[in-house]
This record gives sequence, C-alpha cells and structure tokens, in this order.
Amino acid sequence: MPIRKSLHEIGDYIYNYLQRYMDVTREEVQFLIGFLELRSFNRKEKILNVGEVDQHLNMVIQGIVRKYIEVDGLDCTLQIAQEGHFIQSDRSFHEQSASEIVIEAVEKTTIISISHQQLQRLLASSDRWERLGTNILMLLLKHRESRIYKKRALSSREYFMHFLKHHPDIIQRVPQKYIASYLGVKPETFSRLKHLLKGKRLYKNNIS
Amino acid sequence: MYILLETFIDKISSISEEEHYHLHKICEVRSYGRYEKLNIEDQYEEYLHFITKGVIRKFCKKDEEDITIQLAQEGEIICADVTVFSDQPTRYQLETLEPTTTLSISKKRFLELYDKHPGIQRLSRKLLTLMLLKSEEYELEQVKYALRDRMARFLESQPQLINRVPQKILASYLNIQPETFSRLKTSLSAHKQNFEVNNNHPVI
Repeated sequence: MPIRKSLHEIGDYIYNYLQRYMDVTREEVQFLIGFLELRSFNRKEKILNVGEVDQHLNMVIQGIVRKYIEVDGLDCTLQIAQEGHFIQSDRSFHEQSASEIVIEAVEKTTIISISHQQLQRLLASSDRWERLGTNILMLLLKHRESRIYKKRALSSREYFMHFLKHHPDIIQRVPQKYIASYLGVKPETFSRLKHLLKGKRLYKNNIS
Repeated sequence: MYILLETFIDKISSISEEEHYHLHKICEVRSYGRYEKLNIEDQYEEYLHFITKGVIRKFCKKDEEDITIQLAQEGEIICADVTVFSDQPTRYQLETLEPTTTLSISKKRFLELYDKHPGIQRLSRKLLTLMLLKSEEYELEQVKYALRDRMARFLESQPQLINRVPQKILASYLNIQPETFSRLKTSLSAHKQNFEVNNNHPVI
C-alpha cells in the first residue's frame, strides 16, 4: 500500500470508511479534515507514554500500533491496531488525566489524529457534527465491545483462529509475544497453536 | 420515580426542564420478578434501562455456560446493545437477579427526541463516553489485577452484591473459576475477620 502523505489523499480513505457506518457527504469529510492532523512514527517509537495526558484520538492509516500496560514488570498487550482501527487511551483523553497505558508503533506507522481541543471545536461547530461525533464514538464502543465479547466468549484456540483469519499478515508484522499476550495465551501455547495451523495450511504462507 | 433518573442525568449533562419533561414522557415504569428476562418482549425494539430497584445482569450463552459481562444495580443503567449500528442480532441477554423496577426508554423514542433537542444530543454523547470509559476500564481490569486482587477489589467496592447475586454468576462476572471464587472468598473474609479480631473490633 503506497504511503499516503497528504491529508487531501486521506479524504477519500476517510470518506469510504465512514460511509460504511453513517451517512456523511464528501463536503462534510472535507470539513472534518480541517480538524485533523497526520502523524508519523518510526518502529518502536512511543505515541503515548505512561504519565502523559493523551491529547489525541487516533486512527491507523498505515502500519501497526500497540496499546499495552505494564503490570509488575510484565508487558500486557491490550490492543493491536492495524489500518482502519482506532487507538487511544480513552480515559486519559476524555478526562485529560495521566495515562496508565502506553501506545507504541510496532512498525513504521502513519496515523490520523484529532486533538482534544479540535474535537471540542468540531462538536461545537454544528448540530450535525455533534451527532456525527456521537456516531463515531459509537463505532469505537462497538469495536471495543466486540473485542471484549470475543475474549470472553471464545476459547483461546477459537480466538486465535478467528484472529489470524481476520489478520492473516499479523504474524509477520508483530512479535509473537505481543500477539500471545493480547490473546491471553502463553508464548508456548501460541507456538503450539501456530504449528497446528501450519499443519492445516489455514493461513497464507510466508512463514519461515 | 423520575427524580432518580433526573439526578442521574444531571450529574452527566445539564439538559433543560423542557427536555426533562419530554424524557419523562417516554419513560416506561416496569416491574419484574426474580430471574426474569428483559428482552423477551423487546425482541424488535431496543431499550435502555435505568434501575430504580433491583439487580440486572447482562450475559451471553456459550455452549452450556453463561458468561456474565455486566452487573447493574440501583442508580445504574444497562442495555443489551448500546449501538445503533446493529446489523446483527444482540449477542447479550438481560436478566433480573431479584425483583426489579426500571425506568425504561425505547431507543426509537429516544432517537425521535434526539433529533429535536440539542441538550439530549449532548447527553447521548456524554453517556456514550461514560460507557466507552467503562469498557476500557473493564479491559484493563482483566489484565491489571491478578485474580486475588480483582476479587479483593470487588469485595471492597461492591459488598452488597455478594448477597444479592448467586456465586456462580459473580464468578463469571469477575472471570474467575467458581471453585477459585469460593476459595478466595473464604480466604479473603477470614483474613478480614482476623484483622478485626486483632483490633478488638466486634466481629459481626
């Protein structure tokens, strides 16, 4: 996928994305873009650190971003966001309080962000944007609830299969220990599941 | 009874008296017995419930088991599916755990109000934000606290629920195996009692 460097090019991407969930016009997306910024990060660069106030809501345009928390020295992955996924510290952003969690780029990444200040301005700009803003929030909530549901209702093995099915290239792009942590399985279990899958050739073959 | 909901709303977002009036008009007072499912009647219509008395759980079935994802009591809200983007049937069911009374608002009627009142639009957004924060907290709790700590935190923060919710459901809600739950509950209560005895507090 070519790297989209300008906000203007992003316009189509955002329009197509939002259109799937709500009625929004191209003009409205153009208006929205005025409130957004493009940010780029290198591999392993921190987008948000513990103790910082999260000033941005983000969507990954290109790359992979990880959200995690350190508990007793252990790194626990909360979310792995690929292209088209939202990622931020909700509590830190909405309450403007110090973040407990870390957000870092797993590979070279471009994200599109709206700052806390710009979001308030956007929502206040019109009734229409107050509503569209709410719709986008609902999207965020829907995605998270979906994640929570899968984590609780599926067995480790089922979740593993489901996850890989929907993110076939993720194994090449993200260190195994992070995926294992996210799925809530031990690294050894993850390896075992991976080999099981390899045997069944259920995922694309670029694995060494 | 609406005053309870009014207080709840005012803490989240100020809406006008007129808007409160309209909201009040679309509230339905409902009474349920124990272990009654809420959405049997609401099959084709989504409702948001504000609990004025009782306890409701949100759960889904997995094979033979129940997975309880949320517990709500007096002064709290609960709904089966919060989003309007539902293109799939609701995954979750709602069930009372004791005799319960709610003020319930149909999503359809709420959306009609939403279209006409900016105060209600703001309220929706703030409510959604609260739900978003709660769900993030839920995800965090699962990894941040080991089993024992999750249990201890729960006993500390919601002691009333211990007596009102069957142990099996509580265990599922905390994502702990039922046997582990029993063991931890005994161990944590004993620990607490010892502390009280040693401090010459009467053990009740």
